Amino acid sequence: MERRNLIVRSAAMIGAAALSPTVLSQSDRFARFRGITLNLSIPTHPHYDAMVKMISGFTDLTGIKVELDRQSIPKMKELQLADLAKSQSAYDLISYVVMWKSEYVKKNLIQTIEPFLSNKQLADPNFDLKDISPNYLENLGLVGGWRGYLAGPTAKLYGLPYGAETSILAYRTDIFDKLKLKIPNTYFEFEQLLPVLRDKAGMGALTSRARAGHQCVHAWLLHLNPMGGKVFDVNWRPRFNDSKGVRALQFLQKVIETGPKGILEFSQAEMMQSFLQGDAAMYLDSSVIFGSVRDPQKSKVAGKVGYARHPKAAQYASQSGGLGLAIPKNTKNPEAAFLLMQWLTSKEQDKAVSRLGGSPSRISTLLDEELTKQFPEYLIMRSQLRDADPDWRPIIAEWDEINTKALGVAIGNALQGKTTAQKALDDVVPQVLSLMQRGGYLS
Amino acid sequence: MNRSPLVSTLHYTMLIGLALLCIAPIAVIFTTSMRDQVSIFAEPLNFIFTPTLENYRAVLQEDKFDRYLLNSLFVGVVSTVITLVLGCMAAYGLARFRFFGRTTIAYTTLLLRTVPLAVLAIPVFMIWSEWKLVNSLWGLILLYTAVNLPFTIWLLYGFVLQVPAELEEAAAIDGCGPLRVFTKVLLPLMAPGLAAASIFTFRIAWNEFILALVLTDRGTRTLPVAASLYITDIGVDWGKVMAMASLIAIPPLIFTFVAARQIITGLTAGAVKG
Repeated sequence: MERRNLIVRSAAMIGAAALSPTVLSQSDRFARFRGITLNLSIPTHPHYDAMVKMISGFTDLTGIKVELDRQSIPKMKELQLADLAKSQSAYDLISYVVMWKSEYVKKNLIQTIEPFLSNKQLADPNFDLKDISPNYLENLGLVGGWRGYLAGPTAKLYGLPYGAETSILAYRTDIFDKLKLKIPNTYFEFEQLLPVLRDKAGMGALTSRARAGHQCVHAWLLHLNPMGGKVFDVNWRPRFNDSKGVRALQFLQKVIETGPKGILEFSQAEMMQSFLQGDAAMYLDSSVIFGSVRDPQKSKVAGKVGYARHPKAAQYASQSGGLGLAIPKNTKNPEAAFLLMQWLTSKEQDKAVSRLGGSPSRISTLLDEELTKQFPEYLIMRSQLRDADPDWRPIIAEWDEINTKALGVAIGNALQGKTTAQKALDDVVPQVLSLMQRGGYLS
Repeated sequence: MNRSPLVSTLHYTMLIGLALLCIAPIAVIFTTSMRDQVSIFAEPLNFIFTPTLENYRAVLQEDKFDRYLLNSLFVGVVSTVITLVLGCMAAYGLARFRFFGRTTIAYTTLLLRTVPLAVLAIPVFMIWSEWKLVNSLWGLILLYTAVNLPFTIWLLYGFVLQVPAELEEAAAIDGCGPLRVFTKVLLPLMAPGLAAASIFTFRIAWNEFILALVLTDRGTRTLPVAASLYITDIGVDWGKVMAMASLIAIPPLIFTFVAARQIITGLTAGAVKG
């Protein structure tokens, strides 16, 4: 709560600076950049598919041309790292995955956007930073605060959420109605429901990522947080093998036992596809699925899906993550890049991108009457965003190795039945300790 | 000799089986490109579906298909022309002249053809970076020319050997210089070889993916690399991948038909002269 207040206070200060009476009108702000071309590095992702459809609106308004470089996420990072290390970047605005923010700041590749937000020549007085979900803003934008990646007095804003996600429970309304089942509100009810759905619905109960490596760790973390667990304690010592960590893994083992066919090999793509194709009765993962569920060309279950809060164990806790936008340090057009970033993340465009199947980042979008009528899932998403924990996984440089090579292997083994949940997590502690010592977090 | 009905039946069954094996992947690509995502993932696979052109619309309108097409055409055509010019001259030299190291050069050239393209990705990237050829169409053209030259030289070498040396001698006696002998006598007779070589070189340049992925950016991307953009972290958009694949297949098909006609014309011309 304290962190949230900090973000809101910072946003208010920056917003107040931007509201000074000497601000320029919209056309004046854009005038000196007319005719230039901005290059964007963006991923092939549903939110950015929606963005592509509306980007011409920016050129029409400002006369600034926009050139898009779309890549798969791994390739996008590879190109960004190569390009941002040059004396002058070919990219003016980049999209990044939340896990990269600390690395990009540490390598001095992106710049803080606070000076732009307080620059009266550039800032839009109606931008309203406070309207962006505080959890998204903290998770995707802030670097340098508590633990290095959370809010705090020393934190600076380096990016804005664009294509951000939280977790949500989706369920098949037709099956729940037919079997007269109650939507689970707690993990106890959730666990009781799994075998019932498998036996009575004739399909997998809950679809989940489960492939060894990053995918199964992601699935485990989704359950770890509501159970009150964390990967590290406040002193960076591993605590993932405590009773909460083990309980989360045992729950995931039950999900695998009662899940759809082939679940052990599911990554995010297969996991989503199994729900969209009607092979599973429930889905608990990223809100990125909203657009696909609605689209009858992609989904067999369009019109048969309801949404609910991520169930509670010790607490309500949903994930937050996804994608954001940042300005490279070495771009030749930082001010114009900021104008584009500001336009894309503005209230109007957040609504526009949401209408086209993108992910909303603003509270005003989630409260919009017309949109809520069109997308009733926004009601649930509002509570999910309140529950979102920006610290649900550590955003540190060592995480990649811990995630894929240590925890990813241990959890994968437990899910494949090679070992018990407790033993799998206990056995991997020395490896994680060693990685944290090597990173300088522990002596 | 008349075949027994049983042998004929077996013969045609085998031919039909082989034809189906060849046609099936193309049919799957084309039909998948006309399906929506739900229909593609339906289990069991349903052969009756409502066709849609939505995937083609998305491929043609939502990205820079025209730019990728022009890049592919430029790289394919220019690298094929350069390969053929250099290849036929090298083949002529190897076939007609005796010089020190001739056999070594010939076999080393052939050996280079055995190196898989993927193995070249890292060294080529490093060298091309030094030479400022990364993200340039000329970088790709240079690479494809180098990769295709060995095959072209060896293919045309055989064609040059088949042309009787007496024809060249007769032309020389009539007053033709070496260049004129080469262009006016030899090249027309090598037309089927040039056509066959052009089909292979164009197809490799057109379809190659791994090196193009490493060596191009948004401005120089070719069509196979653009198709890979439909493979994302949250799934593969098979409909669009297949629509792109169907569109990619059209230019080489046209090129092959045009070049194949040249093969037949050349063979006929050779028969008359012979």
